[in-house]
Amino acid sequence: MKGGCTRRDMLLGAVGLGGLLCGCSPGEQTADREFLIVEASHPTKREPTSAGKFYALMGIAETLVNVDDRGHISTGLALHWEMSADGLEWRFDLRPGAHFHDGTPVTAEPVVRMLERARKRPGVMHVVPIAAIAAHEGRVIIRLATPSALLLPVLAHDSTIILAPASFDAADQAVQVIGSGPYRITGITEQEVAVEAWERWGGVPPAIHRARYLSAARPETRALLSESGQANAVFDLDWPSERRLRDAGHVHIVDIASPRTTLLKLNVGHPFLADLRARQALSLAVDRLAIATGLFGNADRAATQLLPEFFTDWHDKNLPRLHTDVAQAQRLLAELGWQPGADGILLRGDERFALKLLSLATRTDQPLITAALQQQFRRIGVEISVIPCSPAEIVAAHRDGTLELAMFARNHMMVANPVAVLMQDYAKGGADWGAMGWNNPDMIAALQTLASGAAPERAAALRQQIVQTLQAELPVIPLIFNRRIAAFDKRLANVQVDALERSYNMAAMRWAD
Amino acid sequence: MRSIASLLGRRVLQALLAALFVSSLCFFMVRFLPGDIAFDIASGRYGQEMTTQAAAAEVRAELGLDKPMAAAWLSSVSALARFDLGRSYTLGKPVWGLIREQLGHTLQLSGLAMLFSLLIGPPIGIIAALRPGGLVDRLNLLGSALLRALPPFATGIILIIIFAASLHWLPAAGHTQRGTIILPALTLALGLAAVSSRVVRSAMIDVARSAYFHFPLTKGLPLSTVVLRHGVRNMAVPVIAHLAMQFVYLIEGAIVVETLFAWPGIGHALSHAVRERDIPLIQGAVLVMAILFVLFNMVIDLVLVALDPRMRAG
Amino acid sequence: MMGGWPRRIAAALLIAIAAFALAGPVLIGLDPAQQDLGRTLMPPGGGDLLGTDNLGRSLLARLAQAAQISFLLALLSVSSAAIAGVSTGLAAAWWGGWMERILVAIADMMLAIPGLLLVFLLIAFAPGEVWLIYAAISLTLWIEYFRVVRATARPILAGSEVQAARLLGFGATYIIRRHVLPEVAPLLLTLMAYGAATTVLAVASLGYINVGIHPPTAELGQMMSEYFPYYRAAPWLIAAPITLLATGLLCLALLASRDKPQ
Repeated sequence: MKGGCTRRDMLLGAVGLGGLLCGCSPGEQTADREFLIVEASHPTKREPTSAGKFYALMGIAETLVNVDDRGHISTGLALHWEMSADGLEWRFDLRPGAHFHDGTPVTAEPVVRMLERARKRPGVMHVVPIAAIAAHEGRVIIRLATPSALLLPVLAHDSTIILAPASFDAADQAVQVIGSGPYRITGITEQEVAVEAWERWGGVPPAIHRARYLSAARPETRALLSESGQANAVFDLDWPSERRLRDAGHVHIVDIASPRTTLLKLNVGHPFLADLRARQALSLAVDRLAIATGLFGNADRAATQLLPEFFTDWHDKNLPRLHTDVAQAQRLLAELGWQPGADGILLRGDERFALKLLSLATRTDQPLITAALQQQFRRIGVEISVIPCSPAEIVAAHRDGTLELAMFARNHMMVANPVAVLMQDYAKGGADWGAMGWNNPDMIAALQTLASGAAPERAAALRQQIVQTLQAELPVIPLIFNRRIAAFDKRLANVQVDALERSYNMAAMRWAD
Repeated sequence: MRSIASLLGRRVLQALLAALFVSSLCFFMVRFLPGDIAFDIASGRYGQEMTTQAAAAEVRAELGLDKPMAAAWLSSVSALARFDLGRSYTLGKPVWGLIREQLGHTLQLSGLAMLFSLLIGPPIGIIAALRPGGLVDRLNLLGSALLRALPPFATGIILIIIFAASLHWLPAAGHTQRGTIILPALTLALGLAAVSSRVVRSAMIDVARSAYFHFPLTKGLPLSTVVLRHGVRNMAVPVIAHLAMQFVYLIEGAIVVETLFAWPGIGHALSHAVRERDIPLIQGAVLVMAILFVLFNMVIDLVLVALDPRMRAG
Repeated sequence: MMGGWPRRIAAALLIAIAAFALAGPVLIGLDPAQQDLGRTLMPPGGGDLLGTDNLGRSLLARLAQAAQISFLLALLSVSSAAIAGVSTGLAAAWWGGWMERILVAIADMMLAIPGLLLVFLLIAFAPGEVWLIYAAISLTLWIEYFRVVRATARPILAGSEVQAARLLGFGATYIIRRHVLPEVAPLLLTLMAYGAATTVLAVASLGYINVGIHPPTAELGQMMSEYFPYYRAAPWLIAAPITLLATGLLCLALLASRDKPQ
């Protein structure tokens, strides 16, 4: 470079470099277009029993059976199934011609191996009384100890995805994810997963050939990815961003009811919370309607009972609603011997009604709800300090008994039958993502009866009993019903959002242009 | 040449001491702070659902959390010497393997940010210096002050809103798609250029006052030639010396900028690990970034020695 | 060149921000955590001077509280760092020998760790603990004072004036007060301004990553993170903390910039 390199040259150079690296022209062929899908979670783990959800969402791995939004079971890797007359033996015929992404056929043996593997690990499999799993003449046979209505829902759960044997190393650790779904992985990092359509997929060939998942932990990054048109589908949007995107009108917003309920988990063994009246007082202090309208612009999101209308069989319109009554809450706490101190916080002897609330640091709506709760609990003289934490910390605090309050959104349709989730969460004195130190033998018996299958009328009565018990005893305090909000590229057709969070439905979408 | 050896020796010692400090700090914080670390480790290793008191007790014994303090500390130091940074609580994988991959991404990003800042800062600084107090100089002063007063995440968001959401020129975030590196690199580069343009300006003013700059001008050589031949060479020393300071910005900025742009570097891993309280990953990320910082400085030391023969003697 | 007026304006603005931070919460008289979910995202100029935020809290009251936290934390961190750095710097220069070597080695070691990294490292152990944020920041700031004071004090202490004073039997305190501190003091002001800016920015970065000061206490970085989604519906929300932070940092930078002697 001799002499005359002016500033203009340098600037032009910089712009040229930018243009070269960018080259993101929108005019390419739809067939070559890479579909970019964005959500918050990191695809960091391969273990199917704990990280299966992501691989199911992406259409990489399949389960034996599927389930639709209404909870109806449909075919998956199994094309037909039958139950013996006594309800103890189930036989599954696999889809002929199904192949794993490494080219090996999906036969009964690898399926049995995966189900046995899931059974050895903690998870929803344990709500089904399985006696044996075997392969017999190309079919998968599952024998139960007692009849169960939960077998098919559990086989649709993402912790029971079926992977090829080559996915595991000698120590049975998952090292890669070789599924049988419409998409196979072509590249995977901590942050992004690239997939392309699997040519030996037996169903309708997906119209979207290549796709990429990008994990964006920051909510503003997700919103801006959609706003800029870079991402074709963005899930897990916060409400203000949704409103902004909707107003701008460049993207197609889908906002549907979700089976998730944001709830307050309480340590019922804690001396302040053991008495039902204390839990009632906390519930009466919460102004759900103000939170639902003020923070989320939707009065229907006030969770006046644990299960939302999404669960048509479970949601009980006649149930006395959880409501707000500050005076009544104060009365209840006074009955328990609590008196306001100088700063307005309740005192009882040398105890001060102050509790720690664990709240997930990565969720965007949670800080808003906890801030509102802090203020609303203060009105009845209860002080809450909010500790942002990781899911592992909530689990640890539950297990070592130090948990006082925790807030999270529980998906009661995580398994296609809520009985399975309720059994996990409310039996045996509670569970990580359910009750803590609370036991109700009648309710557990009712759940068990439902699990083993009950006649429709009896089942309805049992469901009502369970819902009433949860409403009356308040082992957890329901706060807000969640919604699944996503933004889509307007060039997409056949967009469907799965409320159950089982699939991104990528294989069904197509480009409209 | 002896001074170069001692210069390098000092930097190496600095890196070693820093590594020792970081790992010991982590070691003692884990021991003395409330909260059961064994639970966190067990949940990373066996999954959240499988975390039980028994699993935690096993981890406790394995980590030597029940061993005497001195012995446990020594074994932690010896693990560090073997580059054994432990396993991430949340990912269950060896930390060193995770960081090795992220390091490449961070270096890529900081390298391009450096390049951009060199393309932006010095030219503006030189032009500002040619007419001190002129329009360019004043605009540069204002712009650089404003940029320095914005935290990097705010600059980044503004850039995304302008270039991605409004103009649609560049992708907003991500890693593998084409052009995704430009906005995060530009965010860091603007912060760097805000300072380097001012440093170049004042160095250039000093140079412009000197005789070796004025003489060729009076001889009739064009200004651009004089600037390139005499100006740039002579102001390189203060400007490069200043680069060392800028690495702090680059490394600190990487934490929030990588997080905002979903760029899979060490900074992103660090901010994620801090939220998840993944101590081994935090320790590893901080260690590697600190050593990187010392290495950067070492390179600057060497470049300065090469540029300025006077430093070789002293 | 530009005279002293930019710095004078900067000082005046900083005093104004400090007054807002210290007296604001009392003068405004509103609880910054007091919500009114029925009156969210109210524009400025209505009942509330700066409007209300996403939870119906007074933006003015929150801004004042955030300014107070940032300001007090900066003041505290900078003064502890200055005290620690100046005294170790003087000790190293006064005694020399092993004492000096050890202190220099410690400073060198700490210098290898960019400040924000150390802050992140410490905060991971107890997120949101203000004392830890303060400790981490002070721990990174003291080195500058140490290095500057030691470098300035060494030649002075070796100089003939001080030697004479020593021979005359003057004590350490007298010598330091009389001969060293007057030389060091103007440099300290610059360092303190830089340090305050670093502190404010570090706290904001922590808040942005949501591991800073616990809500509902307002903090600038956390406010930016929380208000960003409303940047189109209520632009004043996100503008307020950015403007306050930028103005504060700008003033500190102006104070710290010392025109070179011509």
